[in-house]
Amino acid sequence: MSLVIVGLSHRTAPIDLREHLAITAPQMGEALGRLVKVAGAREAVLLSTCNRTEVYVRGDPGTSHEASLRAFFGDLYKHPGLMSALYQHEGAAAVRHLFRVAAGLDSMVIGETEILGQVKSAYQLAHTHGSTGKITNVLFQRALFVGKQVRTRTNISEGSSSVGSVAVTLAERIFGSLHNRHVLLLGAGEMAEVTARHLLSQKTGQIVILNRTVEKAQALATMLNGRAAPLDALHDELPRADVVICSTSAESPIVTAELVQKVMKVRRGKSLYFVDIAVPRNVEPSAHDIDNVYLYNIDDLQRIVDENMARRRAEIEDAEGLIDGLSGEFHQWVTAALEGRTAALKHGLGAPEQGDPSRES
Amino acid sequence: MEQTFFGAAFTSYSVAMSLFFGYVITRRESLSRVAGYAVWTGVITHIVSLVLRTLAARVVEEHRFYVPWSNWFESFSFFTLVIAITFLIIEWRRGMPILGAFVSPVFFATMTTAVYSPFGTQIPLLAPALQSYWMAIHVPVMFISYAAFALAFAVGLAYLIQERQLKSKHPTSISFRLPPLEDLDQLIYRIIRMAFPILTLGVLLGARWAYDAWGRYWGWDPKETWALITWLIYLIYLHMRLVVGWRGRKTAYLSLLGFGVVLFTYVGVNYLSSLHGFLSNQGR
Repeated sequence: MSLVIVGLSHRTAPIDLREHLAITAPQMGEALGRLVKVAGAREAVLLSTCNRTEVYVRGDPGTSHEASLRAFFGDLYKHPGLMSALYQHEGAAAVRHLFRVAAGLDSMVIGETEILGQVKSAYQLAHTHGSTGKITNVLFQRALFVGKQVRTRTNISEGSSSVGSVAVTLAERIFGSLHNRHVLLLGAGEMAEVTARHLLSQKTGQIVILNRTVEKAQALATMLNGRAAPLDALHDELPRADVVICSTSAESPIVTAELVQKVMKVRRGKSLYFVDIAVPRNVEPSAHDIDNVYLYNIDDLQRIVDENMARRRAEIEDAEGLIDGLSGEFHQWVTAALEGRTAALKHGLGAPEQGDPSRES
Repeated sequence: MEQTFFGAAFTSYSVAMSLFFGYVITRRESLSRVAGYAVWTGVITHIVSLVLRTLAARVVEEHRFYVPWSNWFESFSFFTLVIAITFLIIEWRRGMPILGAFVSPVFFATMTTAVYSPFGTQIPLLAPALQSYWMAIHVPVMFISYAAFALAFAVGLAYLIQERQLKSKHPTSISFRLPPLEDLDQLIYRIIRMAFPILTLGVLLGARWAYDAWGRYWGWDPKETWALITWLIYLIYLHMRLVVGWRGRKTAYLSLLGFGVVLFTYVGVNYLSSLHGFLSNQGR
């Protein structure tokens, strides 16, 4: 078996090492070329994200490519810690590694879906540069299939994994489509911006930014395509808002339960959703007890994120089992293919039956 | 024949309910689609069974105005049909298959109530008051409004569960299987807004029929009194919502209360009213 993977990831290398080894798309052609020419790869795919840089290589049978692939990394960046940060897998273990990566099991945030797209574009880039071949073509297409299978058959990607996306998910639980829902930002800080950007990834209605210093609000308003006003306008703006994101550094709540009560009268009971990510809190907690008012503070959101992640972790075992079966099956295929025999890959559900002799022929 | 079709309808409704529950548990869209087909099958076979029953009954001269909603069994059976059709219309218009999980137990319950009728399932001898073409007008109009209120009840339940989920700050996967809060709130309102004029019309037609049957429009018979109470509850709902500006939980509770009163007016009153006790064979 001549399939090898050498690389490093967030598990083995700190960010300052990873950032030097990240290979951007324009550099990809040159790097792949070097893998083929210098390292003697017959087929090569380079996967480079902010969390990992890995090379997948089909080499010549009987030849060890480990040293030349390590040298490839050494040429990219000289660093005393580099060699100990590199890991390698061969044969069945290499297949299994790629499948785990594609499934998001090796990601910093377990089950995240971005990696699937990154694996896909890494493969497509290599394909464009002509460095893929019979084995890597099937391997990467299979990895994408496995990545999707694992996500649909387990709950490894269920639930939002960040405070911002949880805040948006909740908004959708209350309002459905956020189309025409007005967003009000109290405070123009970084946290407010991050959460607002999450919201604006859906189409929303008007966005208004209130801040003690109007200039800062104006700057953010320009970026988010909204309108700015001083914080004193709170009483006028609040009744019009559906989603309110609070992040001011006010020492005591600027949105009191009494104010919310009044606002709800004006709104005629239309739901009002507060995301209070400020510490100390901007909205008086008892506002949550008012009918049709939903107030989530930073701890509430973080707790939901934690629960989601715990639920994802509980799915790891199932996902690993699925991958074991699928990578075992692929390994059988690749062994047969390399020996010139034909074997079939199942495209349906279910792990292949182990030790079934009919699969070999 | 009629019983075969009726059996097929009952089976279809039961299958639909199981499939909707399966859909809630597995979240497979295909299950909800098949469940929808099962409701369709139920409705069609049900209609066929009612037509056959009507043809069989009208052979008798006193039954020339016979319509298949004249006693306990027939009434609940017909009520089931109207609820199922109303559900199909709303599902077609709004596309909320999850509501099937709330509505299907309602029509399963009414169908079961029909089958286990304490007064048998045979074609009844019509009480004199029922030997009238009004039977074909007043009752269906009332049932359309009742069916809509049954749906508002189901949506109200879904609303209250979703509201509790979001207020708990601990939304579980249940929250994600239910439609968004504001959509549910809107839907309850729209259903009641549509059903209220129909109920009003039904009561007025009933008064007109009462004049023909008993010689007066309104006699404070328990059925009439409770119909008025039902009407007032939904009037209060609309008033609170449109004039006072109530929304959400309180109005959802009103939709639950409203359907409770509907059920009492429909079933319970039969034991209070000697005039209107048609379901319990006491009517005149």
